[in-house]
Amino acid sequence: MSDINQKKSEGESTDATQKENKTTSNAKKEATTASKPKKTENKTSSSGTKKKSAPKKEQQAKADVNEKKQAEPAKKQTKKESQETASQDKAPAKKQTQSKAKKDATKAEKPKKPKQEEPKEDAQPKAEKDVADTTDEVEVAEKAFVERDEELISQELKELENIKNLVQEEVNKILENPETGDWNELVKTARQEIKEAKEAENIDEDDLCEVCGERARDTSISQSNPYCSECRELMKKHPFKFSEIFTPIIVVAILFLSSWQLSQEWGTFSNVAKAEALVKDKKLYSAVTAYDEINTQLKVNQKVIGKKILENQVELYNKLGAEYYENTEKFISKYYSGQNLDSFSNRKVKDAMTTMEEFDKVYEVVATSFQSVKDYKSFVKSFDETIKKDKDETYDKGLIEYWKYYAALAFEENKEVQLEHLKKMEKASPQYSSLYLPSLAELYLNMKDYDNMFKYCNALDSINYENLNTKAYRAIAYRLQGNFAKATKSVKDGLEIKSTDGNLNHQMAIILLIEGKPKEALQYAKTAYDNSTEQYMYTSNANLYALCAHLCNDSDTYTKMEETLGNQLSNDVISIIEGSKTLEDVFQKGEGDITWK
Amino acid sequence: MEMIYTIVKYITFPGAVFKAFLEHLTCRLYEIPVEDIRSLQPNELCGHVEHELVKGRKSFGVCFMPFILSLLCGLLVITPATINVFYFGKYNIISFFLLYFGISFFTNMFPMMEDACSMWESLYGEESTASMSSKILLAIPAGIMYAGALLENFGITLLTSIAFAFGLPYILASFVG
Repeated sequence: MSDINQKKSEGESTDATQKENKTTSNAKKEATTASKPKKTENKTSSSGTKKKSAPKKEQQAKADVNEKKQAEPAKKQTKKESQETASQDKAPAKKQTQSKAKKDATKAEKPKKPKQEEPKEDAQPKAEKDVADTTDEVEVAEKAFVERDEELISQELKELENIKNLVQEEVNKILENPETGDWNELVKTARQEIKEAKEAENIDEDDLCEVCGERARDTSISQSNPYCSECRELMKKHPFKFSEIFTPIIVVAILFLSSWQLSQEWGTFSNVAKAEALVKDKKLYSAVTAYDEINTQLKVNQKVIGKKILENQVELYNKLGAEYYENTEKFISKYYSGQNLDSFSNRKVKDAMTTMEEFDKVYEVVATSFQSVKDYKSFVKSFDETIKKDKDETYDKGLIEYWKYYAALAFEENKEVQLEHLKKMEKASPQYSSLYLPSLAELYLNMKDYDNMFKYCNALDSINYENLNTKAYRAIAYRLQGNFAKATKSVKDGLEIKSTDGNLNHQMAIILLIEGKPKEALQYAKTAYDNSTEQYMYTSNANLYALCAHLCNDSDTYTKMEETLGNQLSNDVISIIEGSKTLEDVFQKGEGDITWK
Repeated sequence: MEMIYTIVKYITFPGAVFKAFLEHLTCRLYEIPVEDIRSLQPNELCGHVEHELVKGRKSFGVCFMPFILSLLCGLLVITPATINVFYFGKYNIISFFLLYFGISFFTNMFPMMEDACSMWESLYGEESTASMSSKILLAIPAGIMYAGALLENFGITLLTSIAFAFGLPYILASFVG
């Protein structure tokens, strides 16, 4: 209620001030007009006194001029103030003060009346003459003074006229734009406030805003809304704390740091991931090559090779087994020299080292035993005795059986004996699978036990798919079974891994010969001959190449190969050329390949 | 349980503070009234800002925005660290520092249980106005956030974050390799 009263009174006061404005402007008019006669009075009074005491008057006139000069800046200031106040605010109260200021200014502008002295009645005649002379001079001076005074008065009048016009303009403006629109607004908001205040008086405590506790909850949003509309709006723009500003800055800095580190490590990570993918795909030879490249790259970039990367490689070498023992030893001595292999973190390296040491220990005994024996039985006897003598050392049972098998193979002992040793090894030392699995697959192939052969070939492939021997074994088995399609597929699988492999090219040439494609066979035979790594394979490949050349009527190559082989040219080849044997006789029966018996 | 929850929040305070900031930012974006922005306080509000419970689209946004931003930041921070520590076996201060930050981001990325419930109600509740396509599309993120909020109540997200950090380089390697 008090607010509305206040606003009403404010409204009334604005009307009143408007009226006051009008009245004050009238008053100003009166004031300015009143000031005019005063100044004329002043003028007349000054002219009225011109005949009496001229020197004093002159002095007084000079003093008045000085006073006026001093009053001029004050006048200008008041004029300025009055102009500012007139233009700045339309408020009537201010206008009142403005008019007052103008009145003051006009008062200040009024020149002070010079003090008049009484003329002396008892003056001498001589002096009268002198006075008459001087009176003329004084009259001239007075004339000049009056002219100056009139000028000043006219200037003052002009200034006052300007102020009057300015005030009149402001008053006109106010009269032209009455503030009735604002007033309606004020009444409206005041009504709203009264309504709200009345409501607030009747609000339950539960319905009060949780934040301000004064206004009612805004239930128009939802019945459970705990805030009033004003608090809700404020809470929507809840400011961030000063400490909160640092959070994104710190996070961005950390993101930069991590991005930089990621860019540094991503290349190595990608290469290691690819190498590990090869390990997963059982492509162990490719994985070894990939890891070799990573090691070189890290060495070139002077980066530290992580422990895990080294451990992965040791594990990889361990999977490859006996054929990589030499490489494994070199790797461990290079990257683990001076490290404590007994520590838990190096347990995998320690295991690999133990496996290799066991192998080497048995191999040393085997080497001495082989020196003094001529057949399998004498080897077994000598080998067992040496092992029994050395009571301080324990030898791996599986490895003992392996070397016995090896002796049986070397001295061409019965295949059953060979198989017996390998089977014992399989049971005793499964960790040496890289030794017994390929031996068992080959032995079963020689024994023409294809089912078991396939079983061990699959076991070998599950460790290392890139084992090319298994592809060759399968190709031979399928060819001997007359299944050329599967034989061809097996060879092609192998050639996809290594297209220049001597054994696989040899097998492909045989299949193509049997299929009646000697020209195509010649290409494979040549590749096999060019990529022979072992002496045994070299002779075999050379014989096949010679045969293919003869069947393709390439007499130059045949003659050349005949000369190269000399007495190593197989009877099987000669028999086929002479026609005493067919290709099927040689490649699908018996050994299934060219022999030298 | 609240004690474990609070302890986990204090242990992983960088993530808690960041999550609260993101929540506050989301509330500002969605014009949701915020009452309390103290991110570290010894109660269930630790790591969150107290804001008005919202329904409809906003309820999913207020859960999803901080979640996805925390997840992305966490992934970027933790990836080099976890590659170095768990995949290469290279141990250095920067890697451990980033690993800690990443784990703390992951631990605190899930919404508050109340927000998650509100989101779930808005999507799959009886009074839900969400379209069938939104229900299907948002099922996985909503499910993850709801489950995460549940786990976060018991402080289990710390363990899941560590496990995730350990497995992350191997997951990445399976894509890269």
